[in-house]
Amino acid sequence: MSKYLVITRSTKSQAIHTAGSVEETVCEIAKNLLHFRGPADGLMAIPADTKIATFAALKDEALCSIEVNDKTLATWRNDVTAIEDAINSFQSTRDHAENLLDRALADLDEAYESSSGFNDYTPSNDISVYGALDQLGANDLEYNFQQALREMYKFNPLKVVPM
Amino acid sequence: MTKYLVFKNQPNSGQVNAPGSRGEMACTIAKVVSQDALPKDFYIAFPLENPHSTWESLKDTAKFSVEIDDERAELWEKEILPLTDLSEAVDDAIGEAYSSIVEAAMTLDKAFENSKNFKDIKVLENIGMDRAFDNLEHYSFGEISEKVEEIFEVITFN
Repeated sequence: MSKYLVITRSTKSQAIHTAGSVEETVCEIAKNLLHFRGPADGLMAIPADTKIATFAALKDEALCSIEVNDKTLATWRNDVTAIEDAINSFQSTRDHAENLLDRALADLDEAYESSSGFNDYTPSNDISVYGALDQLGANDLEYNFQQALREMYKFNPLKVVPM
Repeated sequence: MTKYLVFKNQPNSGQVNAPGSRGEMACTIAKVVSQDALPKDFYIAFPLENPHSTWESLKDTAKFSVEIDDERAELWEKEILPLTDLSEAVDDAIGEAYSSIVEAAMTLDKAFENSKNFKDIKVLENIGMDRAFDNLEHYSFGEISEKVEEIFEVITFN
């Protein structure tokens, strides 16, 4: 098991991790678990047993530490990416459905409101689109998956992530 | 004011309501009141004064009677029909949401199932699809149906 510290890459830094390297994958894992909004190459992974890592820790620059081995790296590359894609696709399908429903309901509300014989009823009072779709529990599923990843990669957040 | 008798249109009768006619309106009103999703020419309507009505009454029992005059016809065209269309659009959106979310959940389930380390996470068992969509049942069509029954003095015979 190798431990890495992850820091924010300096905007002036020209160095980037080699494509397919362990460091690059560690940055992808960190981006995901930190919910870092920028691209993964906005981060840098440093082996924890190096002087640079000690220096980063002393300067309070480390965002998190992550531990990986061959097996967990393979899991990230083969499994997690596909699952993350499917989770994102599920969330965006749910968001799209919420928007469609909300718009259809708003149109119906408006038609009721502007009618002369039906304006005492507001259809949306009987339905909460957002509340109903929250019942899907997808957020719990994503949370549980993130917890499993945090354990697998021994993720240790060290600092609030810059937005 | 004219009373229309609405009958079940016999298959191969060769009769349909003229598009835009009050007979067609009476049939649509009957469908809104019964809240059944029925094909366009499932019913056929005749004004009570029409000799067809008497003949049809002998042949078959009328399913509904519907009262239509100019004022109510205008209300139907200008207010109720757009409301029923929009209400159906909400139902369509719910149906579309359900099928697209089921499809996305199945894809997600497959992604977990295909993984080595996360196959014990069962998406379809964890996602409360039916619970969520039970809460999305909407009642506006029922509201419309009740008022339409009252406004057009609809009588359901059987």
